[in-house]
This record gives sequence, C-alpha cells and structure tokens, in this order.
Amino acid sequence: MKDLIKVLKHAKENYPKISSSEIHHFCDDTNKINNEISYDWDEWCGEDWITITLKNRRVLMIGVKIPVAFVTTSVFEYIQSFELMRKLYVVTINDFDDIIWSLDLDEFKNVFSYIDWHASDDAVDTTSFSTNDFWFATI
Amino acid sequence: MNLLIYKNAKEQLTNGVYIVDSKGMEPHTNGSTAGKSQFLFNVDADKAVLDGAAYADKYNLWSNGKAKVFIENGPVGVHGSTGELTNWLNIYKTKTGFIHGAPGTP
Repeated sequence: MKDLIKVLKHAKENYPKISSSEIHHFCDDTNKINNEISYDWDEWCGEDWITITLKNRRVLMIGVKIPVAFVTTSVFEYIQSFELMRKLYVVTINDFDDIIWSLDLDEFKNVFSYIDWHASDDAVDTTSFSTNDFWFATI
Repeated sequence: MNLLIYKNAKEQLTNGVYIVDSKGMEPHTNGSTAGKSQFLFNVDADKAVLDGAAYADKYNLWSNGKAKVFIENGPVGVHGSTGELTNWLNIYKTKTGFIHGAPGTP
C-alpha cells in the first residue's frame, strides 16, 4: 500500500492552495470543454472534493482544501488542457476503486487538522483503502 | 415503501442493505457553523439517510457513490454557509454498503 499522507503532504508543501474563484472558473469551464464531461461539487453542503465525470464515470477528483488532483490514467493526457491542473499536484491512478492507499490516522489528523476524517474503521480501513474510500471519508 | 430499520450486532443502524456510518453523520449533526450543512434538530437524520438510500436504489439515483434525494415532507437541514433551509439530502456510500448523508443542494 502507498502512504497517502506522503502524497498529501507533498501537495500541501509544494503547491499553493487554490482559490475559491479558481475553483468556480474551473467548474464553469468544465462543461464547455466537452459536453460529456460534468462536475459535481455541493459547495453549500460543505463538500471538500470536486468530482469530474466523463460519461458519468468519475475520472478526476480535486481537493478544495488540499491542492491535489487524483486522475485516472485513461484521461491524464486529456486533462492537461485544464489550466487548473498546472496548479495542482496531479496523482494518477488506474481506477478510483483500486485499493492502493494506507495512512496513519493520527498523523493525518495532526497534519491536516482542517480536513475532517469522518469514517469509522468498519467503513474505511485505514490500512488498505481506495481513492473512492478516501473521498467517502473526507467529503 | 421504506425498509425496516434496526440495529445490527455492532449496534449500527441498518435497513438490511445499507449501514449508517455514524462518524460520517457527525460533521452535519454537531451544530457547527464551520461550513458544513446541518440537519435540523427535529429530523431523524439516520432514518432519513437510510430511507433516502433505499429511495435512491429504487429510482436509480446513484452516481459515483453519491445520490441526491428530494425530501417532500419538509426541509431536512440548512446550508453550511448561508443557513438557508433545504429539502435536499446528499447521501454517500462505500462499495461495502456504509452510508452517511448531509443536507445538500439540487
């Protein structure tokens, strides 16, 4: 399993936090690029991740509070056209359901105190979880 | 028709299909105004989420682990930043059937 905290710390320490207006511009532009691409972000609910879907399948997930983007390898080249991608630490994954991550929850809470990990051990096993599980635990 | 809700052996609320992850409900039931939407105090949030998940199954509302359900009998909560009342419920699920939810927008 890969240590997700290392990935997130790299993003935090090397990339500036993206602004709210940059996020809104990105969301506004998304549908103009390709009508099969859409975004899902419920800002008023307090969601901390933006999901981009291609043909209704999640292919990209962008952090609102952490300058990181998880993208499937299948669309990695394609998303380079998004200006916002140049401002984010882009992590490629094969599939959002692949169980590839682990993290130390105490360390996560310490380093990312502004991100709420709200999943029980039964729901998300911190020793082995997928990017979708991470989304569930921190959305 | 809503499914029977009961507690499993681990004292977790379930409808036999989904299990409420109570930790996931906390950010939206703790009364905080730190940007997270909040359920109204008189709403049974766990039941709403379980019934909403069953409704989402019936009407095929899931998309990438999330469903948006409109609750007809009154608002369920308020938006995090504005305090505006909302009848919309967001529900999130894992592949293993755990769910949590939050008042959302259309």
